[in-house]
Amino acid sequence: MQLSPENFERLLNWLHPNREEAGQEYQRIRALLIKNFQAHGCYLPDKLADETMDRVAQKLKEETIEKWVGDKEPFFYRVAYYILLEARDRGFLEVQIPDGFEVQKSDEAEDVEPKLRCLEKCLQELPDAKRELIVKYYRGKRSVKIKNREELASELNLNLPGLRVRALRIRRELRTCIERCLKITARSRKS
Amino acid sequence: MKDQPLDEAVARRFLLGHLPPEEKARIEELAFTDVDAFAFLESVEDDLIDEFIQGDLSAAEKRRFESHFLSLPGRRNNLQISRALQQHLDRIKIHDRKGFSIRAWFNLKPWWVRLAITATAALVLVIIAIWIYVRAREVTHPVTLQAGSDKPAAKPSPEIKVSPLVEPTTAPVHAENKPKALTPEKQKKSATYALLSPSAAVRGDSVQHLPVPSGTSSVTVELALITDRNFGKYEAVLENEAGTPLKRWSNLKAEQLTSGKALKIAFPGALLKNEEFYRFIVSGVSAKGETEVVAQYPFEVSK
Repeated sequence: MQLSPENFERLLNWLHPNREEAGQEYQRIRALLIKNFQAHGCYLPDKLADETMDRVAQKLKEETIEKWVGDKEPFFYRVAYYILLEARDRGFLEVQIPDGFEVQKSDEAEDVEPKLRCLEKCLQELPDAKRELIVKYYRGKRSVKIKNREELASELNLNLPGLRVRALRIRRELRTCIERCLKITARSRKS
Repeated sequence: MKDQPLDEAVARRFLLGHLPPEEKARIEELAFTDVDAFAFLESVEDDLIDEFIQGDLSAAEKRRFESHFLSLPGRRNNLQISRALQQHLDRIKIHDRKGFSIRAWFNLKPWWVRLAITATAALVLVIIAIWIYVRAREVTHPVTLQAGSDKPAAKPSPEIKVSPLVEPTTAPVHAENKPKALTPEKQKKSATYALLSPSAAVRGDSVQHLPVPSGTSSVTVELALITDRNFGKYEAVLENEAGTPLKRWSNLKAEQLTSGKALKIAFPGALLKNEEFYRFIVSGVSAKGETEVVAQYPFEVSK
């Protein structure tokens, strides 16, 4: 999305009435955004920071400017959260496709859910411990699942939130792997 | 997470769009600046998706999930992946129910799990084999005591074979002779098994000693039949030294026991007193119903 000169001007004015000071503030906030995007494991964090600055400029209304009190970074951070969700959706983790990773073409490819095949492939690519954890984590329903998770947390010397975060990280890995796998599958179908 | 500013209930409300604007803004900021808070939110997000798939959300939560939660970036994609993961797990469950598969076994990772299972199975087999061997030896080589002495006898003669723990299992016991079932623990403490030879086979003045420790609740004796004559049925009577019958058995059948052809009978240990003499008198019953004494088995009870 193109940032209009008017929106950009409004943003600078909001950051500081003095143009030079506004420019410095812009750079300072951009640097903070880059640092945080990096902390989340995003690649091209500077691009995401620029996207955030542009989105803030578009979103900024006169009403907001008038009402705003205090530091301005929080406003950028709130917008950045949604940029981060979008980046996550595009696969923002830097997970490399392992060597020899191939998705076989199937004669019945039309009938088989590609995501499921990619998931199975990606699960096999995971280290044993991670695969066992994620399978156990999602196994069972309701009370059985809760019990499974408690046992798993105890086996791993973790509390439940710790286990949850660990499972989530594996899931992220899986997700990135699946997305890449699907791209490869789509490419191999075309060729 | 810094100062634990985010709990699960708040996270759920945030993700389902239930929080007031100020609180929502606080969490958006926190989620961006704190990697752990973002991860925590994702894990709650993951649980919500999971509950949605399993149909565990309340009607109100389900509505918010569809209208708000899924409208945000990445959530639909996550939902699809969770569905795929659930289907995969369901497939595993179906596969598990189909039973053992060689292919699955060799695909089982890590390798040390396969090794550990194999080693355990081998150990169990070895233990079973040893147990069977020991049991077989117990049955074919019972402890043997010579009458009136501790020396083992070379031939079946005036001797009492005593096995205080268990009865031989080579032949079934007739129902009427069968001792009452005892727990293994009780058997160890209070059951006695002994082989008695007929008086004709007892050398000299020796008398057979039947050890019946105090507290023995059940005594089973094997009365060796050393005779060429065969009877379809036998009768037995236990008498004290004065010749008073203490107990009778009828319809006994000869069995192939540890001593060869023999009768097996059981009676309460309380019938016998220490250091007193007793005898069994065994009679054969002919086809015509006539009885004929075939052997006597005198013995002395000792502790």
